[in-house]
Amino acid sequence: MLKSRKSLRTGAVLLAAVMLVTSMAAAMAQGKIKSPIVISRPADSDNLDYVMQDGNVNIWMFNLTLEGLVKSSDDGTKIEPMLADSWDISKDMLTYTFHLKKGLKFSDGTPVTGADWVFSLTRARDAKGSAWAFSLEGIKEIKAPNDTTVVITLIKPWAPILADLAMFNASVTSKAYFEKVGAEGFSQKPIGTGPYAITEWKKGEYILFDKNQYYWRPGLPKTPQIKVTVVADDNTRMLQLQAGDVDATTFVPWNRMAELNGVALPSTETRYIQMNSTKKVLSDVRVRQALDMATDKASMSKLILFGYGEPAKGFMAKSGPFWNAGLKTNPYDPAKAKKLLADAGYPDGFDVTITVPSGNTVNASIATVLKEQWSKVGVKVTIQTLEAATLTPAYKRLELDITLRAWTNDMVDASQQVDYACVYANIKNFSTGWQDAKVEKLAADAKSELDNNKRKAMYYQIQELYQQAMPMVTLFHVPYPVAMNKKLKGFVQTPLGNYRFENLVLEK
Amino acid sequence: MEQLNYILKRTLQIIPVLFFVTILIFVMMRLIPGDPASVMLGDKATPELLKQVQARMGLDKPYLVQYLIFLRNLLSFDFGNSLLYVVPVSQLLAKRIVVTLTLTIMAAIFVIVISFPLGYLAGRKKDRLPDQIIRTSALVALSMPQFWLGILCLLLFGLKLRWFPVGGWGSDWGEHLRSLVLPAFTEALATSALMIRNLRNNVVDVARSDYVDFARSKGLKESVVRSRHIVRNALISTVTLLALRIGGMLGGAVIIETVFALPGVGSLMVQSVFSRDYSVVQAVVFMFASLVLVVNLITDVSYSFLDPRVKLE
Repeated sequence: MLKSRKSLRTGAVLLAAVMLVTSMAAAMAQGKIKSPIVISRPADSDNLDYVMQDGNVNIWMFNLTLEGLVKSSDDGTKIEPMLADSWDISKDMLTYTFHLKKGLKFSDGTPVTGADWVFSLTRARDAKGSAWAFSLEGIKEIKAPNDTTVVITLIKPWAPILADLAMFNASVTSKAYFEKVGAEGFSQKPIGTGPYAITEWKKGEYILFDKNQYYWRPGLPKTPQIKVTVVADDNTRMLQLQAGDVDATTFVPWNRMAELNGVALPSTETRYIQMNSTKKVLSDVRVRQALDMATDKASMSKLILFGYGEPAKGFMAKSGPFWNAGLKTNPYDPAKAKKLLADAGYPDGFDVTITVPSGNTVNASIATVLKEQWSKVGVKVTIQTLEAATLTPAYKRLELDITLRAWTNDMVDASQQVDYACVYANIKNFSTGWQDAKVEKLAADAKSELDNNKRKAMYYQIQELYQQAMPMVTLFHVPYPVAMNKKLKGFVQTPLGNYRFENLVLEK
Repeated sequence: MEQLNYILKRTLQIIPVLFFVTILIFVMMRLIPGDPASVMLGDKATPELLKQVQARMGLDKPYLVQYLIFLRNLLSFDFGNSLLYVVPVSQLLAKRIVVTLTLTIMAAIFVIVISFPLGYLAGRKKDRLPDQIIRTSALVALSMPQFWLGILCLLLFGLKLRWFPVGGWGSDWGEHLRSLVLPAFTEALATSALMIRNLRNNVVDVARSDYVDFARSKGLKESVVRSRHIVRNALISTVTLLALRIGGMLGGAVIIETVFALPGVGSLMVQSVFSRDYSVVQAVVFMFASLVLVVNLITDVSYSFLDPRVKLE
């Protein structure tokens, strides 16, 4: 009896001691002032070599530290001057001469030279294994007659060249620094002329950005330090915002947006139902059209995106250039869908499998809603879940019936998305297996057509042909969900996804 | 001397096991579909690009060559570079091990502090009120999902009371320890429940045994009977259980780490499996295999201290 009470007491004392030590430590910790603006996201970057990387976790951060000759505007619709004040284009449209700002410096204080430009752009064009090398492959020669002039010569007239040069992979970095730290060291701490420089990167925890002391725009950036933290769990990430531990958080779950006063920022994200046209049933365009008509996109968007998205018009990004707002799309019409299926030889519908990546709640919800909606026209859906890294090679080999995909643009031009969607050699047209010679020729011609109106007509036509062929059912245009402290101003995320924080400030 | 011999023998036995582990993990990682290059490139992986990135990662070499490189590096205690992060795996692991180790130690302390007294008390008060209360609470604790309990703790102690931070790891040891209290407690609760039930049953059994009656009839003081005969014997299987659980916790408490945003080994491991970062997975599995083997060895050795009848051979 005595003994048990004693051991209980010992236990209590021990517990109290642990609590005491930790709370003392806590009190000490609280004495410090929280200075940086803290922004949380669900996943960390893995490698910041801006020429080689293509994951959104990496590329969306590049505008904080890196700048190029030109840039995409904050609203993602046009090209604006960046480090180049102006440029001349030769009559034959093959030579672009950029006139740069004077006195530019990298964040380590060294001046930006012509050699840096030649090095950076050449590396961006020639790097093996870069997902972006294609964007600069039309460049024949890069020259810098002096430190404030860059001359780019093209192989042939190339309409998207300015949009290509506005991409992060065409940023300027210090040749000397790159050679000093090597490619691996560079991927950990790239430097450029951007408003911030990376001072510390703890993998899986946070990246600390400090103000670039040599930044060329006076008075910017407004905030001396920004900490971008990683919190994988959605609930915890939202709790931290509510507790005031972070000032802004990204990838807010749609069902929490209203409660957290979230903002839906315009984006180029489009979600699709990717259908495998090499499967017998789905090879019939009538079946693909029927599935489009059998999908009630408006109610699905309300159900899954809580009213923050909108049914998609065509496969191209709504906030990007050359999006055809007047495109004629199918209304939700299950009766007509049923008739089309009957015409195609499936009066009683058919069985089909939708494969979704595990752990992706939005895709799982879409698949569930599709199962219900398509059952009305007799299509019986089986939902299969695969781990993401297993799923990707499977649909790339055209092994699956239907998968759910999303796309965001990386450049202010239609050519990138159209290349992946319509030029088979790239990725089998978003792994649909569908091919169309006419669309493919239009896609190629539109890249070398320099008359903007003609280009526009071509891209409009591509969207119409794509709509008729329906290799994918496009679901909705989806914005970027962000929630933040009411006092936080100047949070910019362009429709391409890039964060721009030079005007970010926490008001008193 | 006998003990030393035993420890030496067991340590040597670890080597072939670890060798087998290297083969197993190497083969298993490559048997699952998808490779790091295709995961990294995602939708933008044109066939040509895929080949270039695979070559950069060294995945174009034959499997045997890749394995031999892995083995050669291992012998010089070098885990190689992460395919994804490009930095040395050891650098990635070093910090995360500190997090996981500290979390495990704190959780183990919580487990001991919670379960030893309560388990003993429940056993001594078999079927009476304290036993009923403790048994019921243990059952509740055992059946609560960890992520849910974690969120509840964050809501109450983090958001409402502000005693502890809402997840994260902090930047100095004061903050580290403070941010570990809730996750360690959450992690400890289920294990404690398990141990309480185990210890209670042991205490009940041991208290009924002949040698305890004999000890009493010898005229030993009740406190001596309890500490030397009941507690000591009851603890043997409980300690085994604790060691097993600690081994499990060291392997990374993925759910806890995710909910509390702790940069521990578990989340690194899961993320590396998803991104097929072969070198990180190989390193982590190898390290944990070693750790579990060592913990098992320590457990076996500790039996001989708890129970002198246990011969080490």
